[in-house]
Amino acid sequence: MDWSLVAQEWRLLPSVALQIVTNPLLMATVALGGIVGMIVGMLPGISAVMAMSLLIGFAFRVPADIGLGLLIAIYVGAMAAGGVTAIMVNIPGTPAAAATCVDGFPMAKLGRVKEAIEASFSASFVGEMLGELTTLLLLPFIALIALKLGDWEIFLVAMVGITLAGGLSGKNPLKGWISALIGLVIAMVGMEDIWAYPRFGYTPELQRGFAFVPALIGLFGLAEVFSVLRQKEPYQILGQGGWVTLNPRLVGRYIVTILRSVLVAVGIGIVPGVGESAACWVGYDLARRTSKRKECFGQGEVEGVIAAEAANSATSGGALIPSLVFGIPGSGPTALLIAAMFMYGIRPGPMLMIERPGFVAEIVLLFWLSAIFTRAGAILISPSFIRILSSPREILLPIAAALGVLGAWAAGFTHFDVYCMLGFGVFGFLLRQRNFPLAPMVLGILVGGFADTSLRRALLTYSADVASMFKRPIGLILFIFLILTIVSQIRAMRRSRRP
Amino acid sequence: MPPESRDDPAGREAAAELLLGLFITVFALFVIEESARMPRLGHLGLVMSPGFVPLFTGTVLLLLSLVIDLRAFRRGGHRHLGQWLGQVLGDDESRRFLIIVGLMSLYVVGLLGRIPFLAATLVFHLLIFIYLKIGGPFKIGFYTALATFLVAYLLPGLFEMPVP
Repeated sequence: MDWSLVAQEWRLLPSVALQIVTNPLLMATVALGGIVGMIVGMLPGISAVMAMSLLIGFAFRVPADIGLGLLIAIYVGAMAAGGVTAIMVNIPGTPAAAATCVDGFPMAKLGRVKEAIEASFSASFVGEMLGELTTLLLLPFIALIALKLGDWEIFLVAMVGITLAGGLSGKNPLKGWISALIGLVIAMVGMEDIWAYPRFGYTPELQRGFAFVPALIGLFGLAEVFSVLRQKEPYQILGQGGWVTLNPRLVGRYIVTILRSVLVAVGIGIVPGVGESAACWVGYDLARRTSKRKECFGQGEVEGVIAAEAANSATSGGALIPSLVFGIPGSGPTALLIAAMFMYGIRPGPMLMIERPGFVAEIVLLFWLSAIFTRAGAILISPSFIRILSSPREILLPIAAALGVLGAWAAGFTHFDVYCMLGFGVFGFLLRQRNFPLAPMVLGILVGGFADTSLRRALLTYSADVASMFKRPIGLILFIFLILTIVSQIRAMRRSRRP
Repeated sequence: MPPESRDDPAGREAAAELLLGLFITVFALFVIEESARMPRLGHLGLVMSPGFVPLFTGTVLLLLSLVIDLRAFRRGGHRHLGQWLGQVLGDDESRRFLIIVGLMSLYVVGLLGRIPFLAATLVFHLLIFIYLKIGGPFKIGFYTALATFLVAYLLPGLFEMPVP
């Protein structure tokens, strides 16, 4: 093993940091993205993935660092601000802030809005910084191991990802798996890599296949626009205008809770497709179980807000590991980051650190920078929180839908891409109505192509002795893990159906 | 009273589940049929065929969708299809969804590429703001102009991109 690769990203960190801070356009983009992310994160019904998916079509018109910086800043900003809506409106601004409602809103009802928001901002800031630090420390080791993987193992990693994402991202593993399989079928459309055969290529556009970006805009953006606009429910905002800041005293007092949430969230983030929506609940539940004030949870306990917010922000760190090392997204927003990387010709995978030294360090630094700018922006715009929360969704969402149309068009400048976006939007909406999670479908679309090619290449390589595929140690471990995952999920599904 | 004429939310849920499950089943059958017809290339036959992975995926999809169908059928979904359809047609949220999809379709399929992008975007925003009743004529006009300027002029200009 080439151990110098492990230290490579750590060694390059200072020089990459210098490049970033001396690029005023990138700094301005990250600051702007952080503010945009905070605003969309605060508006109920507009999530980070939706905003990112709507903007991804434009992102590839600018250089890679600017585009990725913008998307990362929106992601971080939305994660930080989702808690504000959870506290003041009792509606999570993003799904990742759902657990923040449990104690955040009761705190607001008790007149402790400022304390709750400061706890939310402080915990999510520390969670973000520590989550990315963990990535920076762990990722090179995992990437080094990943370099030893062949086609068979790569296929198994993709299958493990799809199985876990399907099984864990929704309430019903069956629906998650169906969603992932539909994604795999969508990925099969178009010219395949081995024989250049146009699968399902009934028209010239289908021979090219479905592009990632219109599919993502449709599934994550337009489906959400439809979901929100069809409802007509006004909401009540608690609290009054005023300045909020970060609160180091709260961080110090609850540092153990924060560290526990960070560790759990990084672990959950590594599991493909699960992401921050699950991490916030696990972090919250762990804090409740271990707290001396268990009975206060749910009635306005600040530790509950801190645990949930530290967890949802730290998830991005874990989610980056499978995304960068295998090209398998750990969460919805990282799926969009992977799509953006492909657009820029950056291929995530085991070779990433060799082909693009310093890239991992750059991504981590962009997350850190976004976290800093976002909190600075949060302090500046905090007196306007009520005004932002009162923004009419009936005006913003049609504009978002039109931006989605323009973004899908920008992906390939064909009407077919725009029709696809609309089709995926309607299909995604219908699936969401029946509780089919969409993240596994996106995962299927992203990994389908290389999983197919890897499997058939492996079968060709081992055609003389297929049994030898199972004699490779890592492959054997992954295969056993895959089987155990499927069996355990089926058993869990059966248990949950028993009265 | 026969069971299908009673208002039964669980039955309606099962009916919706059955319809979507059947749609996925038909889709899976289509994938299997098409994949099986793909040519067998190379000396390994089916496993190296372009249709191998879609065939396998379609088969698993078919099995899983049949589980959904069977469960929905056992819960009486087939008996409540009429009730579900009646509820969907009479539901305010379903109507709003269909109208919004209709307006989006008009924009994407009917207007884009046929009239200038600026005019298409203006018509879309005007119609949807009127439908969503965002305010009086002045407010509708102001936000239509603002949204059209942003989407059809400012952003394409900023990113130097051609418009549909």
